[in-house]
Amino acid sequence: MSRVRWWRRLVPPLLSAVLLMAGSAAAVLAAYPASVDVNRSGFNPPCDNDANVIVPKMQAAAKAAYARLGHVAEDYTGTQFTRAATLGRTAADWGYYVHSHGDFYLNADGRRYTGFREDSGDCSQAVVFSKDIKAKRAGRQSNLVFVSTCHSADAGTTLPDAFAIAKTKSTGTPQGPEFYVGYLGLQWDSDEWVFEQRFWNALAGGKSVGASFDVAMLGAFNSPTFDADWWGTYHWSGAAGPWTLCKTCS
Amino acid sequence: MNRIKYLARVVPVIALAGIGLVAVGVPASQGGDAFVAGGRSTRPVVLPASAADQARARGRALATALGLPGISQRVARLDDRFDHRTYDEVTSLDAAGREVAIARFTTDGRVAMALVLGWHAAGRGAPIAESAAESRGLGFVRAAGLDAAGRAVVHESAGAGGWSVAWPRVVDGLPVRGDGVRVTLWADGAFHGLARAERPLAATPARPIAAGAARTLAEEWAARRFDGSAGGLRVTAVERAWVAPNDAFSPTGPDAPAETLRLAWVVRFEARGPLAERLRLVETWLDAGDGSLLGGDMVE
Repeated sequence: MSRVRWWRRLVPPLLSAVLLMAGSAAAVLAAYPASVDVNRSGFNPPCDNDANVIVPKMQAAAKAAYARLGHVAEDYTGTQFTRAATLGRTAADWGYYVHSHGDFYLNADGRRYTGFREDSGDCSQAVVFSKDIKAKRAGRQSNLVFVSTCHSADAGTTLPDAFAIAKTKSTGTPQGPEFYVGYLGLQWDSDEWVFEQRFWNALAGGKSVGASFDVAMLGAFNSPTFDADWWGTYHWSGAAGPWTLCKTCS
Repeated sequence: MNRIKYLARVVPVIALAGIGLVAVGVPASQGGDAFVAGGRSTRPVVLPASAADQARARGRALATALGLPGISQRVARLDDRFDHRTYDEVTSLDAAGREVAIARFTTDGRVAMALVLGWHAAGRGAPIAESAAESRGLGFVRAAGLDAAGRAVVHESAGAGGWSVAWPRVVDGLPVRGDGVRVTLWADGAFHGLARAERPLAATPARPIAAGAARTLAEEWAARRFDGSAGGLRVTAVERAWVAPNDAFSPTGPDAPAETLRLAWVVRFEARGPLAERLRLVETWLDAGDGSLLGGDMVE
């Protein structure tokens, strides 16, 4: 057998392996986008003279985590994270993470809604209201939504509803492959970073979203009153797309 | 020819195995390298059989003491590069093989964490009052073989499902931020979780700088950082505390809070006016000995 014929025999299996890898990755990745919006400008140059390095770390951790869950994860900051861009993307997003300044902001309609500020690359940052997101998503199913802002999980938060996530904690009767995480009141960046890294790491280790939240809650926080909350399906694996139950989860 | 046939059969297998390895994510390196944001904090390390048996026994004893559910245990030793410690994680499983509780023990055998998994819906038992939460929490701390001293910080916690009761660590009258013992209780006072942190402290500076000097340094730092907006900041606290240095304001710092805590002057600013629209509070942490910047924090 010649050298050429020897390699010919290897081509089909190698080709099939490559196609399998590329094809399956594309099939998984194309279906479930996740956007990671991070306001850096508000806490870094040009608005402050020095960098706040905690914020980019949260961005890197969130993007990597959504990718591990099977999403096509893209991160946006500066002029890529504007109110218009976020609202333009949101209808297609299965996963969503945002880190910014958050509050109950007064809307032009005279009512208050939970929201967060865009980045926009400058220091004049418009508010993205839950009302805006809800209108764009129009009840579309969400997977994991992590709103890393102050007040995002206060009792009256209007953001879960914008992502069609009911504010109920489901264990026995699952409410779908969805989970919303946010913070109560005012929280320090360093504590949020500890919480988020613990949460993403537990998820990466195969724990359910609820178990990951519980593990994250037991971090070494600088503030003894740190608090976060969640709504959704405790036992869900966090994997992108429709139902995927975690076999080993409680 | 036989060799060729063999290769033709194994190459796809190797290729597929490679895909599998890529899919599950093999650590790029092993050893004591630092945590990098975007990566995992923990990775399994070798646990000798005798140590696994010991951890399993500790897990069973703790389960009995705290009433943790589960009928069997799975044990792993994890190197946590974010928390800078190695611990044995004992995961309790129910009859169906589902995870129902987690306990972690530092390699000296002390409890680092205990957690009952799942959600404990309100209404199982009568809610307890704040005044009862501290004594209930203390009972669980002692049952876990730990102790708690000083004034407890008790607060109603949505994330805990009821109450959070913390005993922050205090050394020579100064708080050690992030360290101490914390218990989370369900609204009816049942056990939910427990965490203990006791990180190493650097030497106390022999000649600490005065509070006034620290405040001046912090105000100079704020003026540089916030430039024209610095007028919107007001100092609300100047206090000493042990802190884990971080890279909040220094791109060359570590991605995880530092392993060894340092004594710092913590100077807190509150934002007012237009600055408060994007930033609420800022802290700068200055080395209590030489005033150098150890890190800091923000509430956005």
